[in-house]
Amino acid sequence: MSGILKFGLPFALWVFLLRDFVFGAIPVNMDTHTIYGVTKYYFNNLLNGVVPLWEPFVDLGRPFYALSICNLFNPVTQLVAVLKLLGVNYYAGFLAYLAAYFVLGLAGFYLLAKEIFKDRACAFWAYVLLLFSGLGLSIFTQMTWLEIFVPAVWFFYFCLRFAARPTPGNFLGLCLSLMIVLTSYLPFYFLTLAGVCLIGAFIFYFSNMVRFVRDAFRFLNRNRALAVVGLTGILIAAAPLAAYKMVDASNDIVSPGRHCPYSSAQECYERTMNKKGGMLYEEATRSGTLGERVDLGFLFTHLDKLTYGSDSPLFIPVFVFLLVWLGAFLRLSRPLALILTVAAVIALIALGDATPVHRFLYDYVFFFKYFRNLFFFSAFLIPLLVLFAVGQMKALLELKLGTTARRKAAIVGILVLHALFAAFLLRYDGVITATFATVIVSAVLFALYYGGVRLKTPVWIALFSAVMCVQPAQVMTSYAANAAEFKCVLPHNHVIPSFGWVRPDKPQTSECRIYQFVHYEDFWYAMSMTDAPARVGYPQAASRWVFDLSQKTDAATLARYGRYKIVVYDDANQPAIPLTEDSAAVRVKHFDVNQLVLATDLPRRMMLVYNDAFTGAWKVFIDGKSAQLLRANSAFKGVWVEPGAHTVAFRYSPWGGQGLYIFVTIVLMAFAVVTVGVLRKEKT
Amino acid sequence: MIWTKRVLTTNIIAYAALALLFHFAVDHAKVFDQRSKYLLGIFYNGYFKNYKDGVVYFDYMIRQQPGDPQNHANLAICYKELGDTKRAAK
Repeated sequence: MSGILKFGLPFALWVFLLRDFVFGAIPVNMDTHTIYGVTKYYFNNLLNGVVPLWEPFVDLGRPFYALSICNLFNPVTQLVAVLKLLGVNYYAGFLAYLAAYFVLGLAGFYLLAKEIFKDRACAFWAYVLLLFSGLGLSIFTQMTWLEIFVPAVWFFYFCLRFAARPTPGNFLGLCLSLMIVLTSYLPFYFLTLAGVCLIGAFIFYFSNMVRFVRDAFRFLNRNRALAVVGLTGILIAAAPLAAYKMVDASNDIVSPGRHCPYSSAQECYERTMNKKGGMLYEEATRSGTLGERVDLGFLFTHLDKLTYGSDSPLFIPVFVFLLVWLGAFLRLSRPLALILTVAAVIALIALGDATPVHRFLYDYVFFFKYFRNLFFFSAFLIPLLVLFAVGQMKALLELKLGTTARRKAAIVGILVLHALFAAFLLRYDGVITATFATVIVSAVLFALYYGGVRLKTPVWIALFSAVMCVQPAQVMTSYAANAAEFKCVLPHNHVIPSFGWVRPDKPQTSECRIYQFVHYEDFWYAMSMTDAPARVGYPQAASRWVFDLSQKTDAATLARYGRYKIVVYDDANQPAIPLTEDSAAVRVKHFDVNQLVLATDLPRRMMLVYNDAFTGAWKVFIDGKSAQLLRANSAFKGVWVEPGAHTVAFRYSPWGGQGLYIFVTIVLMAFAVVTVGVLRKEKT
Repeated sequence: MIWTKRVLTTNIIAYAALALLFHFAVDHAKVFDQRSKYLLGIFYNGYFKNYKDGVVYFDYMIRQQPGDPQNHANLAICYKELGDTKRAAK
């Protein structure tokens, strides 16, 4: 009960401060909006009985490429579908999942801190500081941070546990974390962190690491069946990413789509044609670096002006910096030295082309060509800083002050350090009141603590926790107030998609300000399962042929032609006969996002063109028999149909098909259940 | 000797080493270029100006280029638009 109260109170305060976001009055923005769009599209179709592999509504049809990188197969994400079945709408379900996943990450972070410091109070402070950091603030704009943070934190927790006690439960936990890493988002951020930690661990804990490796091999040798199970699980979890890579390498889509406008359409086109994966160095570092998103002054100033238009509220509670400063004259312990080193190296990498480190990795480590947005490393930097600060807190509170003279010296020292910190803050314009209040209250509390004031340990824990929350409370209140102008409702109802014969001329308008703010309308169409006008606005994973066509024709011509979804021709070079509704000649028998089945009864042999993007993974069947699918009118799908009654089925069938994703979801759920079961058994 | 070891193993030595590392390893002009462009983009995001983002942007510019009077003037305009006349006058 006390545990629930202890952890529940700070969380309740967090919910209260961000209530407009948590309860849906202010819609999710930026990348979280994208992830919501993908999640809604996925589960909406899944509950219609279809695993969506194609998006026919935007860019004249394109692969549903985000399927593999939005955490959709995670057991926790299935909450969205469960809640929908219980009558909760998709948006509320998504917010519940978001909060639940954040709590899962916090729980992992608490356990990791407890494992590192062997101290419950420190672990609790780590929980509080992370809860009230930019990670907690960013989940409504940059959920990607959460997606890469949560499995990573559990991985390191199980790693430490496995090093101490190599048991089947800890091994399964490690494997499950890796499986989630592979199915959440691009695993390259995690790989970078894991690599840096591994090198750091060998430097700072060489003999321990040698022992760890020896014990791990011994464990795997003794538990070969378990090792095979773990490895198989990891390989299965990698399958969606492999499918993603196969679409990417198929020469059929613009890849990396979103970077094309940054370089040149021609270059992008040539790279796609030549099957050249990866990004140019300039593309990988042109934007999204850590230096772009944060500067020293930004960490302390204008924190009441954080707006909802920025996807990087890299906010770290001032108490973290204060602890780092207060511990300046203490001895650097080995665990903290490791944490500091890892944080420094990650920060250097995240600075992109502003340091030689990233260039070196880009040249010599293959996966650095496949990701950008280096500021996502903040998802690791914030927790690392919090861990370092909490370690300092532990050291500060464990100072041995036997004599009165030493106590007095400690009080003077701590007050001077606080004064110096306040003086540093005074250099800046726009430091909020709560920041100064935190420094003052912290000085008083430390002075009382060193002065020998006798209070029970839980009281000290509560007092220090309260100080940690003061500044974040003001920041979060301001953030919510600044975001109030964004209030609106996103698409959240269940949709059964219907086939539209004609694409609209003009875009749909939404009252949501976020659609005026960033060009994310595509996701609105996908969520609503409504056709967008025939255009290629933002060629993110657009079919290469459609993109090619959009480059070679003017927008008006493309819009005019792409307006009609079904067109028939008597012969090549004959005028198109657009069809605008069900008729005796062509009637829609079935439509879902992966396929279109038509009943035809044409008077003569005709070419039937489905004005939806062509890719090599599309197949066509006439009366159940495979027929030759032609690339018609540069970018679309066509097939010759004989006169008389026939059934023509266009189906999107990429590698793995729909079954792959269902299988991966089931495997992940089974793995999670078994892991939890084994861990519980080991505990008892 | 013991004192030397004690001093060298304190956190502040590590902080100083890191500060030096970041000072020499980072191309500050490039960071400034990226950060200023990003903040300007946020200020003029989409179809409107947000003066709160403007304050962050121009304050950053003042810290980087204190001698440029235009940044001070623009910061004052942003404060004025936000109704903070005291700061605008300053």
